[in-house]
Amino acid sequence: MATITHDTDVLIIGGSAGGMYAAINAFDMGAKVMLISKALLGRGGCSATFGYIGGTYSSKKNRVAPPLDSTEDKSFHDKIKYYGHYLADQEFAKKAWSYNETFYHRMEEMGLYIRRTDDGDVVTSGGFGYGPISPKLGTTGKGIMDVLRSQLFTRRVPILEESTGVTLIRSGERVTGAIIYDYMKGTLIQIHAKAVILACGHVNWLWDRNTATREQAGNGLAMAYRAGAELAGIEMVWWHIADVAYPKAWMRSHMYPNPIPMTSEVVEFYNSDGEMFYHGNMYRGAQPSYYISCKYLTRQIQAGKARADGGYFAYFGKIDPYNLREYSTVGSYLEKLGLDPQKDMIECAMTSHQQRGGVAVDHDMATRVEGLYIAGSLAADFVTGIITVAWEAETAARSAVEFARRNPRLARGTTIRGIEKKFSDLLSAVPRSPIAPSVVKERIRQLMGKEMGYFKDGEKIARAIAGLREIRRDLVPRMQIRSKNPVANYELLDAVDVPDMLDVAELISIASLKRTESRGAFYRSDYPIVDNKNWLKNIYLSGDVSEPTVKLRDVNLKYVRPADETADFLTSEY
Amino acid sequence: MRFAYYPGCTAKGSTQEVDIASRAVASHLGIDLVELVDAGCCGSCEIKAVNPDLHLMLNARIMALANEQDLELLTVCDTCQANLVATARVLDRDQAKRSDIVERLRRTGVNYTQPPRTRHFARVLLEDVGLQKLSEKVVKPLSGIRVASFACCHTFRGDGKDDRNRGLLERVTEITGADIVPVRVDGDCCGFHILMVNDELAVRAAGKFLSRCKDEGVDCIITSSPLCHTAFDIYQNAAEIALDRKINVPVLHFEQLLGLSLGIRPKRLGLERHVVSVKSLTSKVAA
Amino acid sequence: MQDGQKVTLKVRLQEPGTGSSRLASYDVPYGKDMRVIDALNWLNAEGESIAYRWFCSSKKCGACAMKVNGVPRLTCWEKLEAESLIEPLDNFEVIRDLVVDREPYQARYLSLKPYISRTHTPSFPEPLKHTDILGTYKLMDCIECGICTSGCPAYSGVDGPFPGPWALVQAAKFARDPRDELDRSLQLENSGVDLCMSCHRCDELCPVQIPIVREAIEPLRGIAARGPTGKASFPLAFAENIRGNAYVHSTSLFLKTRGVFGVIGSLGMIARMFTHGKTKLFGRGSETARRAIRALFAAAGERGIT
Repeated sequence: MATITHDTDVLIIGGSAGGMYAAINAFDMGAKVMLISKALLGRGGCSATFGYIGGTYSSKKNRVAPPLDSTEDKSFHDKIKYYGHYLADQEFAKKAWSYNETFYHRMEEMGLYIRRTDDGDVVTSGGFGYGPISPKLGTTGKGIMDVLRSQLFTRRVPILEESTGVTLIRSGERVTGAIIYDYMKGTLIQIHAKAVILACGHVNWLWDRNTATREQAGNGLAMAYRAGAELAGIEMVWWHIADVAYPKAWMRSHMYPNPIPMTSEVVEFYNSDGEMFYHGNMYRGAQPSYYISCKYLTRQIQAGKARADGGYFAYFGKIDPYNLREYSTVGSYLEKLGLDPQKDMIECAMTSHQQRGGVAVDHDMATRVEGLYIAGSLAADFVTGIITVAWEAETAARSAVEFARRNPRLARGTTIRGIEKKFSDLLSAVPRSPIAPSVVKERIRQLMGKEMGYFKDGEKIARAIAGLREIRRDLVPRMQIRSKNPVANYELLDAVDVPDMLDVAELISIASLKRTESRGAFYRSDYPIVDNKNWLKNIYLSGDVSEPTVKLRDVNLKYVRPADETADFLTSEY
Repeated sequence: MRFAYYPGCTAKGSTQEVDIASRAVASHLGIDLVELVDAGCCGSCEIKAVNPDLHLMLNARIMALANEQDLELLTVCDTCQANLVATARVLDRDQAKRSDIVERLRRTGVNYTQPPRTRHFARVLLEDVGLQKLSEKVVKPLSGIRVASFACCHTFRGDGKDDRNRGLLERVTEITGADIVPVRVDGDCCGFHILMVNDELAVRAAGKFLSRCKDEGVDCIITSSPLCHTAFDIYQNAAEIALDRKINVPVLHFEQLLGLSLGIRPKRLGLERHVVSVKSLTSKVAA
Repeated sequence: MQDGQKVTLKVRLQEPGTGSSRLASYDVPYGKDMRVIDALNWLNAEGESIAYRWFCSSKKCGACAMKVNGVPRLTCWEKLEAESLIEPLDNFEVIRDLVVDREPYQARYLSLKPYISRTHTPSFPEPLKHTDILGTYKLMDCIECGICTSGCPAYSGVDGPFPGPWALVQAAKFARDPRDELDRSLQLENSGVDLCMSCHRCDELCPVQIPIVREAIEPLRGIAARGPTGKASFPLAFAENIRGNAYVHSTSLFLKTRGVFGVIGSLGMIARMFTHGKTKLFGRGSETARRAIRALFAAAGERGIT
């Protein structure tokens, strides 16, 4: 395989919202930037497909709601409670949530059209006005990605698409670049950089049913971990109930429980007996009422009136079809299936959706590894939303650019020769009883879906860990790549992804085993209590994969604390 | 049966045989065509690019002229037809636009109220005369004649499209007794609308269809649009040069094919006006 | 179709750099509401090594467009039929199997400046109404799947004279944004936008149902027509022609558009047109007609167009 070398100041790995926003900022701060995107730029990751901007905008007062101590519904405490399950560093959250006004302004300047009414008011939804859309509920992420992409074009930032990070380059304790595999062209690229920002996003693809995109394989978490960073809170995986069950291809298609823009109307969820068991307005407190809805679904599953993989339905019949069509893309999915949103219901199933934890960072988005920064949801931030991602990306860019100003580029460290050998070994391997890498990937995902889904207990998690180790031991050495040409070789890509997926899945499972409580979207039926007495802590992992160093650290509860010591998970609010 | 007849530009100009043949067929079937002599151009695909409101006004005026006659509107060109229908749809759907256009027309002395029912001649024949009656009037069945029809893109795509336009030319072919040879695919286009700007690109597009007609041993092509006809007939030689292949397939307006089967003499159908000689067809028909 | 029923897929496979392809046949068990990409994903999970590009499989990333039974389709959107022929998109170079090269096309249309060019605004929200942005609103739905360009009869490759609808939708998205301040007429008159055949095939194929010709191409043609060099000004010449004659007078239009050399070059065809009675030296519009048409032009704000 051909290898190329590049030099840059700030190398950004991750081509979705976090990566693109960081690249724009770093470029504008005067740095030489290079951006690597595993998917086509801005078309993969969570950001390409999310539905609306979660930051509060008050249509009544026609302004962005202030972040702290607000007298409006979306107060700081509510967000820490419902978004962060009291696990977020509250000082960090305060800083991240200060970005609302800046975000809206900058995005609009960059050309984002935040949907207005014919009279010029910002379109929001619900009684308190949240969820601005651009252009519609369902394709807001895409709208934002389109704008960020266009801004990168006008700046002519060097971009490598369909390229994945293989390993960070280390020189002593410092990260000094990365080795990238361009899987479309079949080349390896060695990039020497003064600072590296990882913006690789979520890893929902590790589960068979998920809201992810195909390229996610945990490469960012794996690279950071191997470079010596700590991971925190990776057991905190969110789950959805409102994603389409059939066709399977549409499992990302979300029947948003939030009010349809311009209205307070919401979709209703019915069990297999035809009883309505949930809608978003039942729960005024929780803004993304996603994990709350999981609890309602759990009760239906326990009563035998729904399953995690189907048997319950979303119904739009009480929603004005004009609003459904005008402000949302949701109706187009039903119509494509020949369903009438007014009369018919669409079957849904649970999906894994986002991780609240990730790579541990300080308030400047720096990891504990010199030269390594994180932007976006790859960070262990315990808060969610595009606005947080943007704040993190700008902060990471500033930190990385500052570091790049003060430090030289080092053209040494991890050699590419080891990686070249790894790739040529993969291509030339002729194992006995060969197995396709895509089959191994599928096994990992089926295993995670089965044992590490929403419904977990110690035994299931232990089976997941054992299963993952078995796959690593028995199946990985059997992987064979049939085509020897590295150009657009998806078998080779899958073979490179599998070890990262195994490592990340195992670490998530180990962390899940450690947390002996339930909280937010993290549910263990063997520990069905929210334990604020013992568990206002985060789990930090570092070192080895199968035997990580585990540290428990108290959460910074600077501003707000939970009222109760313990609570029954299935009936509590978070 | 009486209609306000809007021939457009090409049907009375470079493809005047459309007007000739349409009148001959209409007269033969007892259909009265009242020509809207001062209707002017429908704007083709050019005016909507430079002034969308002017485009609406040109077409609204044509419809108003038909209403003055208190008659339904009949067209012989699919682009005219699509422009008229699309205009009627816009003015029906967008009340603000409608008020504006109606007012501006009023000041020039044009009174647009409702659109008249507007159909292409092919639809009028099949809907109002009907397949049965037309078949009964065929005196010279075109048995064994292999006919490939080319429906204009504007009949089934774009803002003026209508599902009822699908298959019209095939049914005409069936009535005449000729053989339907399916050649056109949805991805084809005759290229007419860029002939003036880049004829090479245009004739390459037309050439794809013409070449397949030649492969299929087609005896003639029929069109419902004089613009498609222009691309395939007047520019057939240019296509041959671009393809480096002789085609020599006559291209008829559907009215002419129907007319032949109804026993109307070729001279009354304007067949001598085509650039690609129709002799290979007329001699086969006469035989 | 029933769950579990066997469905056949014939897939065109091609090793990189070979230029020759073969068809491979597969059987896939049908599942409820299956999309085409579900079948490819099933085969992938079973270990088949077909190369195909996709990310979201839910009509947002635009990556999974392929030719299905001869028609370019978004494979995550279209339902699976009992028999399917799956091939790479036409009009793009094949990299491997069903993966085509998008890069040259994207590189070419960067010249149309697909980004906004504007001065800064004081704060959010800027004064803007939805009615202001209607011209570009539908174009924001474009997922850049490439289907329109793949099916376009006027597009003849990345070095051809017509850029294809994809590039034009992206250009129009910004050109029609009231906040964009760039004068795009020079780029547009050089872009080849005037070579659109108005066949609406792109409209028909667009999976997100953008009326591409009306919302993107025609407005861009209008801008290009008024560009500084006049090379894309045919629509204006046409307009002037009917303003003067009420009906199209093809002789004078031909002369105006092609110029003297163009006429000389086409003498053979012109001669045939005269001998076959296909054109006249003088226009046919009556004075009534001309007056009426001129009045419409005036009412539409078109004073003199040259």
